[in-house]
Amino acid sequence: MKHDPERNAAAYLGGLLSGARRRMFERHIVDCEDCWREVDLGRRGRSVAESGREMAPQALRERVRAAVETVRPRRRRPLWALGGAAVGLVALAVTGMMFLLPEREPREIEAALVAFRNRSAGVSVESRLPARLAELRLTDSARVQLGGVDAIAHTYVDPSGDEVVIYVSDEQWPVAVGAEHGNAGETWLAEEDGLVLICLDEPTPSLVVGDDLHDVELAAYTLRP
Amino acid sequence: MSMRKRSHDEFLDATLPALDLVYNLARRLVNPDDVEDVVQETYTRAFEAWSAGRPPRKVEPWLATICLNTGRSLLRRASTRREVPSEPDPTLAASDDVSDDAIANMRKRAVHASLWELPEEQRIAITLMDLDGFTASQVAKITGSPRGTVLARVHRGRKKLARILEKEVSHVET
Repeated sequence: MKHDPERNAAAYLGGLLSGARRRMFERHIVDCEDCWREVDLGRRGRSVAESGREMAPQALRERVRAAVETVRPRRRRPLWALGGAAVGLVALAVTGMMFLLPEREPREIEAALVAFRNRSAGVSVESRLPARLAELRLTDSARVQLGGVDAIAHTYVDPSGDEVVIYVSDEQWPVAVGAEHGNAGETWLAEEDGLVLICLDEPTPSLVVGDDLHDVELAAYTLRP
Repeated sequence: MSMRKRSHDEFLDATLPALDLVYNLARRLVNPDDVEDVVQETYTRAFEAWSAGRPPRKVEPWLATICLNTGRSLLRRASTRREVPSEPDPTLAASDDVSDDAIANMRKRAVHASLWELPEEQRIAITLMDLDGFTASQVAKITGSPRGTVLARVHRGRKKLARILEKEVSHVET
């Protein structure tokens, strides 16, 4: 560990040091005046900051409640707003009739959405995907069945603990309702009840699902050839 | 109960417990006069997204992100000057006695004023971590900054905060 008292103390107090590094630093600060001062000052500052926490006034709670109740709920967006206005208009015209009747997702897609939401467990298998995709870390690979299709669910987490699951199958995935073809190498993109889906046909048919657009794009675009 | 009413109630049940968090962030982001407007706008924007089918998995970081964006766009729109509140803060109950509550309120006022002496990025990072309880990774995501940068801002801000208040205490004692 490089001797940079400020940086080391920040990492230590921020919980970034784990195991041996943490113990090593704790032994080090006993003898190092500079590092001890940094940690001590950081701790005192944290304690000061925490003592400044305030409660929202009750009147504000009531004001917020009243304001929200005057907002009309929006209808769910039927299309994933990916392209520009022209693309949106063309897609709207082509699929206009689809809005008249609610359309069901293909059963494989529906099963993938349910599996993601419920964090359905499967039989663990050895992963064929990388242990890391950029900042995403692989935590589990399990065999699952989605609407009659065999797939491997690879679960990745980002540094804040949000999950993205990549469902890999030998068969092509059907196209989700309201999906749009992307322009960055993906087969299609869709949004369904707050979840984002990106489908890739190469290197193997993969369906990337998550509720954070950034994470889903990161996984998909790091994975594709 | 109508569908519309249920939609509002579900949203408020899920998000109102995070009101203190949003309030603490707004208090360190905009002028005292704008705090309640920012909190209200945060909630109405959040409800629009929620009812459009985009409810989040984690409510707290989602609301903090909306609050940060709302506050910053207000500052851009109005070129609002950010300054330490110069008059007694009406949201902190005044008290005639010197009970623990009164002392705690005086301390809160002092901490609040000291936080406003920090650069905005340090003030926001400290607010999110120490007052709102987010992890460094969550703050990194909310603010769009690398985790190492967040930790450096928080640490430098905490040091300044400790020094500012210690200086004030020693000034009072002498």
